[in-house]
Amino acid sequence: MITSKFKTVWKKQYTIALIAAIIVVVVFLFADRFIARHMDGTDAFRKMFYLLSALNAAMIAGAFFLLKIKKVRLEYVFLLTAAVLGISFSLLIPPVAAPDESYHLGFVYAEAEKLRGWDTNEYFEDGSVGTQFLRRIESEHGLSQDGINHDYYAALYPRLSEKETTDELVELKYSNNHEVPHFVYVPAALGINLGRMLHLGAVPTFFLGRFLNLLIFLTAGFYSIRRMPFGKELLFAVMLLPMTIQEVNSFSCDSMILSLSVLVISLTMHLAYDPVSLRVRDGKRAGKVDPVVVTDLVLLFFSTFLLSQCKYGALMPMALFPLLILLRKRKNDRILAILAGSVTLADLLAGFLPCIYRTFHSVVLVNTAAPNYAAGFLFTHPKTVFLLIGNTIHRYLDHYVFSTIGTSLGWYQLNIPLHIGILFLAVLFFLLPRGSEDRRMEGKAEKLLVGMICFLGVMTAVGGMLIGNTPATSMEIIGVQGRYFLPFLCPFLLLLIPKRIRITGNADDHMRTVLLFALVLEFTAIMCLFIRAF
Amino acid sequence: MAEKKKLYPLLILLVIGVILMLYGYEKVRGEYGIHIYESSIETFSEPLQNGDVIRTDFVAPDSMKMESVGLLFVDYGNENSGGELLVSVTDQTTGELLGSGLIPVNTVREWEWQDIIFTGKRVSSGDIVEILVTAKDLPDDTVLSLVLSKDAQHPALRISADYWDPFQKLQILFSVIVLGLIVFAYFGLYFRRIRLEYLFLLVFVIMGFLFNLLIPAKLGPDEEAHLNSVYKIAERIEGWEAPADNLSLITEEEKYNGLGVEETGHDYYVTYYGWLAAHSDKSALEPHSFWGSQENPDLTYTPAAIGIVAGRAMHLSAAGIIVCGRIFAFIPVVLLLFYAIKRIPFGKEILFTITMLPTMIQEATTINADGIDIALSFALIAAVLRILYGEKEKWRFLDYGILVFTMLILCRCKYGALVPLCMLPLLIFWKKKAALKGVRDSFRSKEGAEEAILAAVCLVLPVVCILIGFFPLIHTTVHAYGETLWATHYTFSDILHDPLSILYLLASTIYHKMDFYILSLSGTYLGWLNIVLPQYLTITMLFIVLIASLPKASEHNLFPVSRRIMLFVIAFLGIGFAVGGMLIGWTDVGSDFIDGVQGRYFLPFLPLLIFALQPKCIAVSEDGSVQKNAVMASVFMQIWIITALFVRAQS
Repeated sequence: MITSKFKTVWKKQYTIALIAAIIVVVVFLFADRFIARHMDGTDAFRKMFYLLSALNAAMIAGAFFLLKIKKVRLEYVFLLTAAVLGISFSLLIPPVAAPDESYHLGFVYAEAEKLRGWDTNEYFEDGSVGTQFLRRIESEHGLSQDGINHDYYAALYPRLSEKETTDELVELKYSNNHEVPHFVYVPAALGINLGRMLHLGAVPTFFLGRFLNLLIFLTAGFYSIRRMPFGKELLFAVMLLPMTIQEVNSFSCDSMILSLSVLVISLTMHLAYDPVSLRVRDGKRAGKVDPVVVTDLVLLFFSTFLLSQCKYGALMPMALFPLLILLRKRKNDRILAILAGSVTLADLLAGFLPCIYRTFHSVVLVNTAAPNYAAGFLFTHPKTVFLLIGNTIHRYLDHYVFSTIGTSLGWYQLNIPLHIGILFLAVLFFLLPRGSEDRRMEGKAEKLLVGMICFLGVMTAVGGMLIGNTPATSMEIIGVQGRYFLPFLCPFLLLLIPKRIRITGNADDHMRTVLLFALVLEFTAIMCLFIRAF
Repeated sequence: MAEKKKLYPLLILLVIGVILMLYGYEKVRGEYGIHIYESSIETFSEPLQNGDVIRTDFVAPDSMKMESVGLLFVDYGNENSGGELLVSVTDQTTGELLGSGLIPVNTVREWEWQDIIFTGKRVSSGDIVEILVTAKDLPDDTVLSLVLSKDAQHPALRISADYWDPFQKLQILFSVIVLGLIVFAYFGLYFRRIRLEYLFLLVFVIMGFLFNLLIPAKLGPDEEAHLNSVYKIAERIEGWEAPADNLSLITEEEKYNGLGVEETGHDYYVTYYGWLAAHSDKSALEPHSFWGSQENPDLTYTPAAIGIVAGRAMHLSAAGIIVCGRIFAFIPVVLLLFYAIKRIPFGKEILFTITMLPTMIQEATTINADGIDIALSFALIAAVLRILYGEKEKWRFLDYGILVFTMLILCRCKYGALVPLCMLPLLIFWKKKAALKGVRDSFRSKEGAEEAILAAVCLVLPVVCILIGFFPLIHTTVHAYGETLWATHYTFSDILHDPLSILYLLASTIYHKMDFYILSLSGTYLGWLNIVLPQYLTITMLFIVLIASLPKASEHNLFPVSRRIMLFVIAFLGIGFAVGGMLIGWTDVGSDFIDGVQGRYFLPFLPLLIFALQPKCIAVSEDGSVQKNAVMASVFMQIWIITALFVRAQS
């Protein structure tokens, strides 16, 4: 009697909320007790711990409400969660602690100078060393990528509110960058300039620069999830992996690269799989060009064009994505198909080839003395290549997998336990199955194309590091990191959607539950980052 | 055409398998062949000056092809000075030059091997090979410091050759065997519809033998401790009498051997296989201090003890005797697992894929308590599920027998920590309890009487097992470690007085140690945690188990919520006993986490956890193809695991 009454009142959603709440509370209590054991009193670090715990717990509660009760569209949930997680990770991975961040910060400054008209030197000549001007407080920011512990955080957080009224400039030397077009640093540069205009101190200025990068990613993510015809949840999960969140919240060029990548993926999938056409088919505007589709096409072109020039051309495979539209629409909408093919061709001719020329000129010709593997040597020594690849897989595949997820953040010094990484893998696994009516990639040619793009993406990253970074004495490819594969993770997962494993009940509800637990995992990861400080 | 298409995946698997085999071959062979000779420190330690000649020789061990000579400059101080070192290698027996080369001195870097690759000529076994190093054209004031001081730890000269040693031969042999297994499994699964238990028998037995040879004797987890228990039983079988209770008698051969070292690289394996092939007549008895593990009943060690006795009778070496003991210990494990996979009414693939985990194969094939414990647990789970879900058939009495037998043994295993598993028959009691209500009516028919007896046994036996196992558990926990150690460990009193700090300790253990539990459960850490496999391999194996665990739509209602809760509680208690035992028996007060727990302790409960947590919202296709693919994947992964084990020894 009581049981049946209970069953009518108690809903499945409540069980999910209860489990999530218990995990959050237990994890928080453990982290709090751990911190209490290692420090006395309440300092800025501890205050930040409570603040971020409350913020993230509220975010999970809000996400539950939006995902499970109100069932709002995923892009809105993304906005909320990515914003909160972005700010949290940004505060836990201090400026210049992300991979290569201090290196990229130099280029952000260069852009900031251009935008403010402080440009004094011709500093973008090949191989030359340029000069730039920084405020003294920025040049002597005192931040480091090492020794990020409790004391470091406790000293950092009070500086968030620091102000600087004097604009004393100092001159700094820096080297050139051919890795990406300078455009990718513009949002962060705007943030830096905004900070300078508001007379903020170095630390808040840096955070503002990072925040503008996050804003760009939020916009791109929002638009991408909205446009994605299926696999929205996968895209959502990939965009919230700790490694993605770290990169989009840094000064690294990866921030813009990831934003552009999700745009390319979703716009391509939208134009290829959704029933859209270049010309409106029904209604008053029938036969006229659809401005929405044209906008998407233009956006797709610019995104792929910029991507094809990034990372010395290593992201060119992303520019092959529009070929998927060509494959899918070649019978129904020939003009759209031809336009999509033209996008790839234009990227190749206008973006990739010049980029390869610059890369060849700056890296291969300039660094002829570098004792790295030469392409000619590799062609004539297939056994060495075989051993190089075998050794690299044997030794580094663990590292690639988990650094793609984000168990080693910062410069590998901000570690999250491996089991959290495995649980993130499990989340991605449980987001793969679809309902029986749901769409997925069906055609062999489409799968082959996407598979080839992912393979090429991996090979260009690995091959680039082999030639550009691996000493000829090494029998392993050095310098590849999991984050290089992030742009290709979502398409790869879309390929893996199984036919013979299906969701039996409400597929959407299942996915939303998994996403909620992904957010709980993020909360756990944040708590682990606090614990790690000791 | 359709049949041909079915062969394409096999072709891909074989191509990957062969690539792995070749990679393993290249790695085991080394960059310039096998290092067959390294100079001793005393004979090659002079500083070189212009015109100096260093000469050394060695006896060629077998027919081999000289590949290279390497020189290591340990303390080299004249990086940019001119001159050359002329290295020549001669077969002294025939006077033939085997190879020569020049090392320009300005290319030498400290601590880097300078290899001179020869064209390669074959020398015969026993030939004396001479190496001459002549310093030429060195500037007068230069002393080329090819120096090794008396206390230096590294050799300066290394000879490498294309030479097939036993380790290399085994790498190729093992890889070919596993490739054969893959082909057999593929045809069996997709063409012949082989029954899973027979496929298991073949794959597990073969992999067991391969692991037996790849995890050297005494290097299984806790193997030395368990081996001592086995020696004591073997002593009784032999009819020997030890002079004191704390001593056992073993042969001279077994007492004095080089087994059990932690460095298990290529060279160790070569020596080890030499020992395995040898015979020994050193049968004089030696007293041996007895400190064996008493966590399992003697019965579980008896097969290994019989193997040890058989090994002694065959005059095997110490390593051979242990391997023989391992083989005998392996037999009951295989039989119990065979029974489990054969009789479990569903989820056969789950058991199959779990048994393919490297940890599982290692536990089964070394001398320890876990292999037999896991096998007994799986057999018990299979028997209970068979009685619960299976149809009545003539084999049911075998299931009853296994049920009683496994429970009575399990309740005494691991100091009683496996007692929770003995509560499983309560599921049967719950289903059949109606037969006990009207006992008289039940006994009117043969079938009714059987049901009533079964229900009564399933009620009484768990209670008996708890009494047998649980009280000794408390007794052992309280007294086993002696008063001196006792003071440093947690006590029941600590748990009762400050439960919050114990909860904190549990959470801290999860934070600090969960990675290790997952990796050691799946098989990243083999041997005494010193044989390490890449994580991606073992985590892939876990995901294969996960895929095999996904139910079909028709299996969604096999376990109602009450049964799931019961299974979960049993698994939770079992894991709790294992962790709690280590808290009280092993963890020092003040430790940041519970010490001594390993992932393998959770293996007996893994199927229960899977059944309890199987998702209802996901279903795999009814034709069983997903599970079949998972089984095939777990067999295929064995070639990768074997290759990784060989490569590990080399690096």
